[in-house]
Parts: sequence; structure tokens; C-alpha cells
Amino acid sequence: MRNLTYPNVAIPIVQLEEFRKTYVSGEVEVHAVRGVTLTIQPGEFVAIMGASGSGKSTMMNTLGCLDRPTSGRFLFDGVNIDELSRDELADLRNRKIGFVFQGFNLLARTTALENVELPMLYCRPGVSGRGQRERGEKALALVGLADRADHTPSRLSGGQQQRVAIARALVNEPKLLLADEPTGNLDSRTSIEIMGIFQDLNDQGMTVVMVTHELDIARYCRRVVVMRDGLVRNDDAVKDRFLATEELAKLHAEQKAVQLA
Amino acid sequence: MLAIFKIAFRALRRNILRSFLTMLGIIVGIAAVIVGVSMGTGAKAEVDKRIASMGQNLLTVISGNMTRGGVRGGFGMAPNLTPADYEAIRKETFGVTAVSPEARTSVQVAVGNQNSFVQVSGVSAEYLTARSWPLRSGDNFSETDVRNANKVCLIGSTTAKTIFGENIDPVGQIIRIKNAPFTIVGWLIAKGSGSFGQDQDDVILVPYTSVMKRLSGDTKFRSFFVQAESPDSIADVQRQLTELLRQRHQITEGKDDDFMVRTQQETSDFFNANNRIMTILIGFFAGISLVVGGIGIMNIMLVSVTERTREIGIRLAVGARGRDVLRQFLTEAVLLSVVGGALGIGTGYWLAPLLTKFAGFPTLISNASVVVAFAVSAIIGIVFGFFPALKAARLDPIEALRYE
Repeated sequence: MRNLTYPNVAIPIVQLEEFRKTYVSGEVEVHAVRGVTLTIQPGEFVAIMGASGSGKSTMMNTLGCLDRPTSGRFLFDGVNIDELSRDELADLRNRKIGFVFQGFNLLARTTALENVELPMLYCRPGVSGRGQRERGEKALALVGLADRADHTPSRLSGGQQQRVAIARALVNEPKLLLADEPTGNLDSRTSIEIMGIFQDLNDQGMTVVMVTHELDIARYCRRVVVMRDGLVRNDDAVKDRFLATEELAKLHAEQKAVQLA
Repeated sequence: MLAIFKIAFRALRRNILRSFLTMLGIIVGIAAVIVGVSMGTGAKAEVDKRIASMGQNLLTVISGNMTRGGVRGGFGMAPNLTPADYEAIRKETFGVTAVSPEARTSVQVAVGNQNSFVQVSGVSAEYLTARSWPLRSGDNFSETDVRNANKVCLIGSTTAKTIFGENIDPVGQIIRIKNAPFTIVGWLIAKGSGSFGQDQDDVILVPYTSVMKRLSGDTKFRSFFVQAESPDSIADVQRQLTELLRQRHQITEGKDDDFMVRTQQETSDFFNANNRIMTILIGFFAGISLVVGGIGIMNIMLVSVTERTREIGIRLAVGARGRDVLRQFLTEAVLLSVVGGALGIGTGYWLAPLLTKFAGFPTLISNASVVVAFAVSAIIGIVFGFFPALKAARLDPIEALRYE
């Protein structure tokens, strides 16, 4: 399924060519990513795995258009990131990328709905107050939190907060959902629920890329890219893929068995 | 736009005490500006009122020249305005409705066994017209009284009150001025304080001829009062008087006048010069406190930017441009300073009357000072909020998101 053979197929969401990223910390040059070529097509569900220092965070920042490559090329949805200004990058993030973070990163003392509405504040052209509310409520309903719209993060569980964050990521109907250790702060059951949401979204056509270091979380994805020392070491389709619905059912059965015993 | 203010308002409400303390600097500064300017304006209004109470379109000719050599010798100099000068002014100037000389003397006045020292002013029959000074009862003395140096007088309200008691019409009574019996023919209405703060009503007016012949023996006057027929003719009358008196006093070209012709405007300017200096001085100190208040805002906004680095990171990540963040923090700073400014204006409105009540300063809050104060507070917010806001706007989203 390459563009060249099937010209009607959509352009890749992510196209990295010989991507390198070098940080200068003090007088030492740190080569975080040392030449990665990677293509992610629309509709994919990719896990980027690796130990700390493997360069996966740098990959994440770059895919999220928060940072530019030191060298190499990065096309996001066909657009060369290097040619965009800081403001154009901000607009691109606003329209095409949804972020989900490990620490949720919701605004404290701000309701779930207002958190979800946040990206719409920066839409150009702007969204009316009423439009913001409607879209925000729709996004919250999508993650099953319609009844928690007026709750502040402090009154929500970790799983609920992450759902709010996902709703916020989805509210502008992005091309790419980018998740950085989305289950890192969650217990295993909630983690599976969150992965279930990602799987549902992916089934509906959303492209999802997440960074994780947990192998069993990566198995909910369709493709796993393993990084080490700033290079891609492995890039395979997931075999024996976990499905959140099945895993939750299993967990439920196990709990029942424990209770019966 | 409204949404931006709502967000800013909420951010400030979160730290209500801190926001208030930050605003306090601006509140104090703006209140100081309002009160300070109100003192200046009040003092000017008071002076203007007193000057106006002297009469309408009034020019004063004073013997001596206060401005000569920078020495204020005017009042100390021997009087040099003569009755002939007075007659000349009456006959030879145009556009003049009333002229009166003034010959002052302070003498003992007695009624029955009561006696006191009172300022006795010898004036012409046109004096009351010149000074727009109506009578409460009785009549003015006449030209004939002046010509014959008759023993008639008009009595000021304060003097009448002291001698005869309050609200007792003294017209028809006889008082002894330096042992000569004078008939009171008119009772003057109260005029209030004059330009020097003196009580204008503590006075007895008699024909100037009577003063010169019977009371003081003076042959010259200290001052003339001249009323121009309209505001437009004041300058012309001033010029005529100057030319006439220079000619009569035989002052050669290039020499200084030995008299002064002052319009009310000039008198007002003379007294208001001090007020202006006071206003500028107070404004200067108030300005300093405003700058200090502004620095307070800058300080707190810098702290706020640091505290909310992560929030800024989130906003940048979801697509806020630098200028969106800039606008957000700038709005907060401006809101702080503008609310502070409004509270300061309120405080000023509350303080100024208290100052009048307890310290006796005349105060008058002008609309212009309120508008300016409000604008200044907004400008302070913009100026001192800009640097912190710029700092926020320039944050790197990755660094900001990672900030703990």
C-alpha cells in the first residue's frame, strides 16, 4: 500500500526521512535521534517503545510538531514542518494533532467541559461560545463522561481525568492522536479501559500514535516501533493483539472467581 | 474578547488576596493622584471664587511696582496715586463703567460705650458698582456726599454684627469714627473672604474725601478700582490706564512703572502659581507610587508566569500562538491595574471630602483627573505587564510541559 502504486491512497500522516535530533547541553552534544526513517499511514495504531534515553520522547515531541528536526525531513500530512513558522506550527497542532499526556495535564480548578473546550479557544477562525459548548459536550459524551462536564479535575479519578484529556484531544477532530505514556499513571484495569477507547477510535479511522514502555500496553496497538539509542531497532505488526473488550471481560471473570473462592 | 477577560478574571480570583495586595500599590497611587489633583483644583477654584467676589471685569491699580527688581516692595511703598489721577481716569478713559479710589485707614469706631478698631475704606460712590456689591438695606452715599466729605458710611455685615448684633438693621444709627459722628446709610450684604483670605465684610465704607479730610489726613491713594464695561474691553482699559498714569507720573520711555494695573486674571494667575507648584509636586510623588505599584504588578505577574509554566505549556501544545499567551497575561495585568485604578478613584472620592472636612483643604475632583487616572492605570498595566507576558509567550512548549 504505497502512494506510488496506489496514487488515490491518502498521503501519509507522518513521513520521517533520516530524522536526526541533536541537543546541546552545556558543551556536550547529545544525539537523541540519529537517523530515523518512518512512515505512518492514516488509520494506523502505532506504539513507539523504548527505554528512557532511547529517543522516543524526542520522537514524540517531533511528531507532535512541538519541535523541529536538526536534520532530515519531517512531513506531517504532506507538509514540511521545517518550513513552518512558530505560529503556523501552533495552528497545525491546533487543527491536526490531539495530545494525551501521562500526567493528564488538565487545567486545575477548571471544569471538565472547559478543559475540553480549551483547544477551540485558539481555533482560527474562532468557534462561537455555543459551538464550543456543543462540541465539548459531544467529545465528553464520546469518552463516556457526559455527566461529569461540570466537575473539576480534583473531583475526577485518574481514569476520568485521562478521558477528559482524550476528549480535549479529540474536540478539534485531529488527524493524529498522540499519546505520551497515556496509561503511566493509571492502574491496570483503568489502563485497559483507556486502551479500549483508543481502539474504538482507531476502529473508526483515527490514527493513533502512542509512546509507552509497557509491552502489554503496546499489544493493544497494531504496530510496534522499538527504539534504542536513537535508532529504530524493530518495526513490526503486533501479533496476538489484545482487545480491550476481551481483556476487560477476562478481568471481570477473574474477579468473580476470586470472590466465589 | 469577553472570554479573555473572563479567563483573566478567574485567574486573578484564584489568588484573591495576592491580587488585592498587588492592586494596593495602584490603589494608593491613583488615590494619591486623585486627592492631590483635587487639592490643586480645589485651591484654584477657591482662589477664582475669591477673585470673582472682588467684582466683575475689575482692574486694580496699585501704587508701587511689586515686580520691580524682583522685590515685593509694593505694599510697603508710600502711596503715589493722587486724587488728580483719579479724576483723570474718570474723564479720560473709555469703556469704563465705574471708578473708585480706595483710601484705607484703621481707626477706632465707637457706638455707645462699645468701641473697636475697624478697617475704614474711603471710596467713591461708584465703588459698589465696581465691586458688584449690593446693599442689604439702605442706600449708597451720593456724589454730593463725596464732594462735601459728608459724615455718612456703609457698614459691612461682619462689622454690623459685631457692633449691633446679628440681623439687626443698623441703617440710621450713628457711629463715632475717630470721635466724629457718622450716619450709617447702607448695610452691605456679606461677600465672604477676599483674595488674601481676609474678611471683606469687616469694613466700613465712607466717602474717600471724608477719610482724607477727617480721619487719616492722607493725600494719596494706595489703589484704584476700575470696572471695564465688558470682558473684551479689559485689555484695552488696562492699556489706557497704564498710558495715562505713565504720562501723569512723567515716567520716561524705558523706565519702569511706579504702579501696577492688574486684571482679575493676572491676580488669579499670581495666586495660582503656588497652587500649580503644589499640584505638580503632589503629582510627582503620586507618580512615583504609581511606578512602584506597577513594579509590584510586574513582580507578581512574573511569579504567576513561573507558577503557571505548565498551563502555558498545555495551551501552547493545543495550539495557542505566542500572541494568545501574551494577550492572556497582558489582560491579567491590565485587569489588575484597571481594577486597582477604579478602586483608587473610589478611594480618592472618599478621601478628598475627608481632607476638606478635617484638614480644611479645599478639594475639587475634576472629571478630567478621573479619566486621566483611569487611563494611566490601564497604561501601567500594559507597560508593566508586557515583560512578564512576553516571557510567557516565548516559553518553549516542550520545556513548559516538562516543568514541575
